[in-house]
Formats: sequence, C-alpha cells, structure tokens
Amino acid sequence: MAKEFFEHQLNINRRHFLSKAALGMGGLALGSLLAPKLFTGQKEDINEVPVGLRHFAPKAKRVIFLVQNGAPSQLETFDYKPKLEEMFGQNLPDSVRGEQRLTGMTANQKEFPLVGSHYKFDRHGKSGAYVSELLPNIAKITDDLCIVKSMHTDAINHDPALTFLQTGSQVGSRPSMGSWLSYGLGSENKNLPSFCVLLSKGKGNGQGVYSKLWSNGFLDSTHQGVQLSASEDPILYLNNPKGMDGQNRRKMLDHLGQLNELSYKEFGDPEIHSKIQQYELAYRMQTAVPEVTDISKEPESIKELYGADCNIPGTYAANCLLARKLSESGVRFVQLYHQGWDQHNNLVGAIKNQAKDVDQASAALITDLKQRGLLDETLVIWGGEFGRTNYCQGKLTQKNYGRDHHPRCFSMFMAGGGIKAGTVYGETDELGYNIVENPVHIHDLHATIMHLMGLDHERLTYKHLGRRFRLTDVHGNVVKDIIS
Amino acid sequence: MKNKTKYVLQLLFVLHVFLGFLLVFENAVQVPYWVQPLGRMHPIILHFPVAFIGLLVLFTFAKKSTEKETYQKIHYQLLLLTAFTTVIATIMGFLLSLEGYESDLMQLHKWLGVALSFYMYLLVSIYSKKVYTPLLYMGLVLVVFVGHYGAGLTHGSTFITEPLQVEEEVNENSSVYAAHIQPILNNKCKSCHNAEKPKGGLDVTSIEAIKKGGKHGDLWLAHQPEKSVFLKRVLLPLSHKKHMAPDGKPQLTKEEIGLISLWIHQGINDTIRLADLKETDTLKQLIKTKWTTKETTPSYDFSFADDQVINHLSTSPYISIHTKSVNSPALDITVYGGAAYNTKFLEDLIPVKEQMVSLNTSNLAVTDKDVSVIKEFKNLEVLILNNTNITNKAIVDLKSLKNLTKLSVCGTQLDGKAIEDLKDLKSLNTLCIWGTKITKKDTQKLLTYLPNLNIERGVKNSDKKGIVAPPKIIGKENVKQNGDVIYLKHLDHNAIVKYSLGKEVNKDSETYKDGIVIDFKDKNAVVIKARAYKEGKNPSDEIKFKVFKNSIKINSLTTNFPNEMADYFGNGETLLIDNYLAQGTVTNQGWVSYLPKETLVAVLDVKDNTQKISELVLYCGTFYRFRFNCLNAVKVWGSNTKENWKLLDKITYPVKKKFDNQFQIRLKLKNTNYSYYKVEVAIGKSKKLFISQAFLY
Repeated sequence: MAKEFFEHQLNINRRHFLSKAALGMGGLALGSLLAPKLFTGQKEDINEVPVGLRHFAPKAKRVIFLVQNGAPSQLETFDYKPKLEEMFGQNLPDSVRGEQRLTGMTANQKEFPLVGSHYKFDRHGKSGAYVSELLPNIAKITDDLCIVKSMHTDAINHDPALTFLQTGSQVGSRPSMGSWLSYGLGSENKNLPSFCVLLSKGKGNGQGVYSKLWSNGFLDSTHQGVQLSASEDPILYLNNPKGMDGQNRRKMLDHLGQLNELSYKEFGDPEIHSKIQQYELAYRMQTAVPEVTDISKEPESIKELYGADCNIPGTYAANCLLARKLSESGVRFVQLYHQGWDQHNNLVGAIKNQAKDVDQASAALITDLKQRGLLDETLVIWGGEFGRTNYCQGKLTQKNYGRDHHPRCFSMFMAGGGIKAGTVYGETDELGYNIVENPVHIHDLHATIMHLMGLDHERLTYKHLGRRFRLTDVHGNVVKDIIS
Repeated sequence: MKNKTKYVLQLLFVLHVFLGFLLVFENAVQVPYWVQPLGRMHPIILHFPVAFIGLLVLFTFAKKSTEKETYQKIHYQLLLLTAFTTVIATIMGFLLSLEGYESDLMQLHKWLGVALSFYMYLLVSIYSKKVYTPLLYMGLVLVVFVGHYGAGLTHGSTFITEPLQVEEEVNENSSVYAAHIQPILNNKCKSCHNAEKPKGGLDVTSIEAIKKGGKHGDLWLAHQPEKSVFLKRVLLPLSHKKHMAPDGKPQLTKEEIGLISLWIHQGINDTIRLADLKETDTLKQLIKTKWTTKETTPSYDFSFADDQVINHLSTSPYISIHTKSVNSPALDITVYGGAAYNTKFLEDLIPVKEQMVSLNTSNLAVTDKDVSVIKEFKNLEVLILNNTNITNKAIVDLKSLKNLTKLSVCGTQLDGKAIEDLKDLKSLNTLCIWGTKITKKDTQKLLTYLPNLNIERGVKNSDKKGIVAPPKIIGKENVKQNGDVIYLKHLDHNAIVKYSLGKEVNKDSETYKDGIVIDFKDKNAVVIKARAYKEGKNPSDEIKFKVFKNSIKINSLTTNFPNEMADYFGNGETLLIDNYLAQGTVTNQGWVSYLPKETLVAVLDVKDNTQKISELVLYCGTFYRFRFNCLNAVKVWGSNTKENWKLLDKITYPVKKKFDNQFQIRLKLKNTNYSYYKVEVAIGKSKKLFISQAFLY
C-alpha cells in the first residue's frame, strides 16, 4: 500500500512538474515578446546609436577644418622664438633633441644648425598673441582665435601624419573624423551630404592627398566624405542627362529602389541600402547643390573679403567661400585641404607665397561666419599634420634655409564653436623643440572636437571585427581649458 | 475557492518566470511604447504591497483572537494578494527602469525589489511551515528598505533630512575656506582622512581637525605653500610612493592645487571672506574664474515634445530638428528648402513651439507675416533670420520672445527705425546686423538702451576698387592648325574680356565675342593674351596661352610599346598626338616616358594628307640623371604600303652628348607625301626619354 501511495505522490509530482513547466514556458514566452530580437538569431545591433542623439548639449553644430597639408612651419607663423635668432647657426644640443628620430631627409645631416624666423613677429589683439608678418589678416582677428602652440603627433612623415590627423590612426582604412561625426550626429540638411571635402593646391612643394583621408572606413558608406571637384560644377554628373527630366528620373529611381529592395531582401547586404540612400541623396542634391555652390550671387563685398581668387573655382579662397556656404546650409563637416606647405628648402621664399594664398581667405571665413551670427555654432580649425624643425635642413645662409618635419610641437588655431576666443594655449621651450606646458595630442584634439559637438569620444563607438572602435582609440582627453 | 487559489498560484509562478526572464535578458529587452505607461504606473501599484505586508504583520497580532480556520483563510488570501501585487509592482518597476534611470541607488532599489518579490513567493510556498511568521517580519524590514530607496529615487536621497540641513549659498560673503577650500578636501581627501579613518593621523573634515596636524606634522604653514606638507605631497610624481592622492584615486586638478596654494600663501585664514580680498588679489581672481568658467548646462522646465511629432517633422526633407542633448527637451530647428519655402513650414512647427529654443530660417523668403508665427515660439533663445524678407515691423512681434539672447538679421531690409523696437528686446546679448541699413550711429543709440549688447556689424563694403577675376581658356589643347578656334570664358557675365595675339592687352585691345580664330601666319607658335575688364573694378591679371602650330593632321600613331611605358597615364601612344604639348617639367601629365629594352619604333598614319611634308618634329625631354647619351640615333622612313620603307633621314648623336632638359628632334622628310612614316628612336641604354608631342610640317 505504501508503494501505491508513493507512486501516487510521484504521479502528482509529474503532473505538477509538467503543468509548472508549461506555465514557465508561458512566462518565458510572455517575456520574449519584449525582447523581439532575442530568438530570431539576429544579433542585437549594439552599433545602432540613435542618429542625431548627442551625449550632451553641444557648443558647435558644424566643423570646418582647414587642413594646411605639408605642415606649415610654426616657427614662421605662431610660435615666436627670439632665442633661435640669437643662436643662429649653432648646433641643436643633443640634450634638447633627446632621442627624437629623424626623417630620411636629414638623417645623414651631420649638423643641425638652429635658425630663427626670417619673418618678424608682433603682438596682436587684446590677447597679445604673437603672429608673424606672413599672416597679416589672421593677425587682425586673433581675438576670435584660440592658438594652440603645443600640438604634437606620433608620425614624422606626411602620409601617416595626415592619416593620423584625419582618422586617429596612422594606418589607413579607419573612418575619418567627418565620418565619425556624420555617424554620431547624422545629417543636418537632408538634401546635402553631411561630410564634404574640398581640395586646393598652393604654389609650394605639394604632398599627396588621397581619398582614404575622407573614407568611411568600417562605418556605413553613407558617412563617406563627398569630394567636390575644383571645377565650375563642384559635383559632377549632377545634371540630368539630355532627354531626361526630373519626373523621369524620379520614376527611374523609384523602380530602381524597388529592385534594390528586392535584392536586399534576398542577400541582406547593408551596402544595398547605402546605395539606395546615395541615389536618393544625389536626387535631392540636384536641386540643393546648385543653390549652395553658386558663388556668383555673393555680394561684391564678400568676394573682396575672401580675395579676387575666390572667383576662380578650385582656389583656396573659392573653397573657403564654398565652405561657408556649405556649412551655412547644414553640412556637418567641411574638410578643406590646401597643399604646398612642405618647405624643406627655400623656406623663406616659398612660405611667403604659400601664406599669402591662405591668409586672407582663412581670416575672411572666420569674419564672415561671425558677421552672420554663425561663428558661435561653427568650429573652424586651421593647421597641418605636424610642425617643422628649429634647425635648418640643407644649406643654411643668412637669407635662406629649409626646415624638416617635426612631430614634437606645432601650432594650430581654432575659432568659434565654443572655443575660448582670444587665448593662446600651451608653450614650447625657448628653442621651440619640445613642449613645456599643456601638451595637446592629436587624440586630445579629436576628443575636444567631439566634445564641442556634443559627443563623448569614449562613448561613440562602432563594433567591427570583434572590438569596439573609437576615433580616439584608447586615448584622448578633452582640453577643457580652451572651451568657453 | 480552491480553484481560484490554484489559478493565482499558477499566475504567480508565471509572473516570476517572466520577471526572471526579463532580468536575465535585460540588455535585449525593448519596451514597446504602448507598454511604457504600464511601467509608469509603478509608483501607484507599489503602495499595495507596502500596505499589504504591513497588514499581514498586523494581522498576526490578531491570530489568537480570531478563529483559526478563518484566520488561516484570510491570512493566506491576503498573502497571495500581497505576492501578486509585489510581483506586478516589480515588473512595472523593471519596465520603468529601462527608461533611462541610471544610478547606484536605482540598482539597489531594483535588486532589493526583485528580492522582495521572490521572497514573497517563497513565503507563499512555505506558508504552512513554522518559520513563516519570523520570515514575514523580515519581509516587513525588506519592504521598508525597498520603499526607502525607491522614494530616494523620486525625491532625492536627502529628501527626508533636507529640512534639517541648511545649505549655505556661496557668495561674496561666504568664507573662502568654507566655500572653496574645504569642498576640495571633502571631495578628494576626506575618504581616507576623516575622524573614523584618519590615515597618517590626519583628519581633514574641519579646519579645527586639520590644525591638529597628522603624523608628519602640520598640513600647511601660513604664507609658505612651498614648505607645506600638503603641497609637497601633492606635487610629487604620481608614481612616487608618497604622492597624494594615491595613484588610482581621484587626483587634485591644477586649479585646485593652485587655489589651495594661493590660500596658504594668503595666510591660512579660515574666516576671510571673498569680499575682504582686493579685486587685484590673485586668489580672488582665481576664485572668480572658477565661478565664471564653470560649465553650465542649461536646464529647461518645459516638458519633452511628443516623439511622434518630432518623428513626423523629421520626415520633411526641409526641416532639421535636433534635441540639444539626450536628456534635454530643448530643440534646435533649422528650416531649409530654398524656393520651396512657404509659411506652412513654420506653421508645422507649432506643435513644438514650447520646446524650440533655436530657430534658423536663413535664406528663405520669410516675411513679416511669417514672423507672427515665430512670435508664438516663446522659449526661443537664438533666432537667425539672415537674408530673409523681413522688415522693421517684424521686430515688434519679436518683443514677445522674452528669452531671446541672440538675433541675427543680416542682409535684411531693417534700418535705423528698427532701433525703437530692438531696444525692447531686453534679454538680447548678441545682435548681428551686417548688410542692413542700420548705421553705426543707430547702433550707438541702441547701446545707450542696452549697454551690454554685443553688436556684430560685420565687414563694410570697402571703397577700394576690387580686381576682376581673370578669364579662362576652355580646354587645354594647345596644338592647333590654322583656322582653329579658341574659346574663352568668364564666370561674371558683366565682365568684358579683351585679348590680343602676342601684344600686351590693354583697353584698346580687341573685345572677345565668340571664339578667337588662330592664324599662325609664318610662325610656329602664337601667344594669346587676355584680360577681363569690368566697370568700377580694376582689370584682372593678364593670362597667357601659347598655341603651337601643327600643319598636318596625324590620323594615328602606333608604337611597339603601346602603353606600358607611360609613366603617368595609361594611354601612352595617344598622348603623342593629343594636341597637348606639355609645358613645364617632364614630370607632369602631358609626357610619355620611354625606357625601352629595344629601339622604339613608331608608325605615323597620314593617309589623307595631300600636302608635301618637309619636317617631322618630336618634342622631347629628359631628366638630369639621363641627360648624357640619352639618345643614340634617330631614323625616319616613308612608305605608302607599310612595306619597302624608304630611308629619308637619319641623325646619329655623338657619344657623351649632353641633352637639354627639353629639346626637339627634327627630321627632314624632303617634301615627300607618303601615307606612312616610320620613326626609329634608339634610346641610350637604361636611359629614359620623355616625349610629349609629334608634329608634321
């Protein structure tokens, strides 16, 4: 009898167990309703930052980055070193140089004779910042600028240094800064790309600028920089072909979109969606771009401000004016490159022409943004990929000299967009070789730019190849001292 | 009755499994918007379990005076109800927590709440056991804690004790020590140097405690910051054993160190007030900058805009709408749209009129009437109306924007009369009026009303005459035949382009109309010079364009190295007859470079030609490295059939000949008229020869 009772008890337990299990499954099923992607096999997409969601209130809405490609000499522009003039021709002490590696161009040089600036410096504005006579127009607006004299970088040659400046990594294929911002903040004006690139070339020794610098890297290709050509039609093939009107085009795009949607369903390749979006953007750009890039309607006073060159497409002045127009129309990141700052020899003559090319238009851009009330929401950055040595490369004469690449210190300036105006930040030693106060690394610059745009550089990440990537990798500190 | 109990028990089980599931897969959970209100009802429902548990406990005191069976029944039913409301409240709380509460307090509340829920379920299942009653009392303790932390979340953790504490307002009259120095110590030092845990014998919680000093003597010496233990230890390198704060703990910032050392220098006076210090005192200045540079994130007390409204607005290609930041209800809006703009664009924004703090409608045909819509956007702080069609009247409407701090009206019809209304925009601190008719005198008047206003007048139209941009040559072909036309272009339609062939261009030069017909006469090249003129402007720089003559058209040119020898562009041999003679160094793109292993052979096809040909010219160049012995010999043959070639000319270069950077090879064709000519160029061993163009005369 006891056995029967025992079995009966077991029976109840089995029934009990099964009913509980069923209920449990019910509970799980109810829960799964709230986690829709859990059981579908699709990995939850942690990459998806809601586009347009800032981490905190931004100071700047847009960036214009005036890259002076080739590396302008800080010693002839912003970093005044009278001591170098005193020590003309003397050898750079080893104690100062330390273990700094040299480029292939001066590695075989036996002596490193110091040389000061051929050009005179003066204090300007209320801030009393030193600016050389090469940049008279920029000197006039120093009270709007924050000059950082203590930039430093890791690379010593142009390509890695420029790639580093643009992507936070010396090796290519990482997303450019503009792509990161486009990814983090989205487009402001849906009819224009959020990241545009403009190229120009000065008379000086040029260095290559390649499309990898505005690559989207592993980010979606909608974040790629759109290069505007240096011709009268900044964006090629934007006009409808002969015999095709806007309506036809719309119809064609609609059908093409449907076909692409079908193949997306079949293959699930996200690039297909990117392509659809690019076609749509191109269609909207057909109306928006001509309006934005037409500089003929700019008043004469504005053209004079930027200089007569702004009438010639593809010049630095024209690009600065175009940059203002693009930025004003909501392009999140406008990237200019101006080549020709690589003065290894004949620096005295070459830098003069090079500086003349950019001085007026750079200052004009800032003045123009300011008078439109846009400077406080637009961050303008001016600078190259590294600095130049305080000693002469090649033959040193009283009248002429050259300077090699120098990564340990160089100058940049920023304006608007929440930057503390009228300040000079950081200091180099009296020979202008090492930083003695407030160093700002390229990663710090990136972190600061992102901070000003309302993004936390540590939180804007993208998962790729099994790890999360950031623009600043595992480095970078926001330079709070230069933020207003 | 029995059945009902069974169902409730089953339901409890399901709900707890559900809760467990949610917790395990917390990161994957996505709450549909229609469930969110359920979560937000957590603060209502939670009162049930709190009250019920209390009731259960109270009820145990009535156990003796109640009939046993009734007591058991009621108590068990009440227990079930308690467990049920607990798990419901917990699930709701979980849903609410997903809406972005993130803090330690919240974690504590959440896990204690979850624990309580399972605890109540446990009580249900051990109801008949003896330990039930003591465990129930424990549950009461638990619910008190859960409730307390939860209340802390909504009211702030110091809510209860708040009335007892008087927070001192920091102002000119507060003591420098209490307002600025002690808080630094509290933040960075107190955790290890307090009365309970005085490391190194030091307690920094009050000035009295500090004065007692620590194991290493006094913390600071008046007027002597550099000799004070405090600064010595703080300024040691981080890796040093004695560095304070220890590596890994929050470090003092440069400003904090500066502030404390200045205060020590000032004389470690703990009663001195900011007002007592002179304006020029560095300590005072530092404190003041600390006040002014503090990053302030504006906070708004209006509510968030409806997500659906924002999403709907975002679908418009002409409206750019962004929240200021994740946790801010404030919106930044820019309207684009060019010619497509109409008033409806602004009217569409009315649903977010409260949240909009910044609006930019530049370059749109916004009229005064439209501004009466903008008037409704009461919380606007920044308004940019550049290049719109507004007039003085619009400013009257803007008076209702009480928070407006920045107004930009560049390029509008505003004039001096607008000052009468602009002066009433009391909150304004930046005004941009470039390109309006408001004069400097007007702005000075405005400044008498609003002395702190920052007026951005922008650049003036200079009186200096500007320079016209130079004209452009269309195309880059510079090899032409007599009668070919060259076209010029100028972007400015009002500019007049003048040109001449050879001579300097001045006012009297010929005016360009539609193309310049080239006539070489007897020369091999002409220079076209051109300049642009415009009324009221200085003429542009002169542009020069040198055009080279080619009398006989070469139909095609084929070589034994069709393209692989081109250094720069792929289509090597076509570059030789592309009508572009490269200028400048051989490194530019007009040149084809040859570094052949064998003799370069080129065949020129001139089948249709009827003229007698006297000369073949090759424009060549070389690098300085290759300039010795760059060429050994050149030969040319003629034939009508590509067979039976007849030798026409031959040049042999002497050994060690030094070639110029750019030179020409001229071969005599003796006034022949063959259909084909063959050229053999014997390039020196390992030398590189650049050729830009082949000509026949």
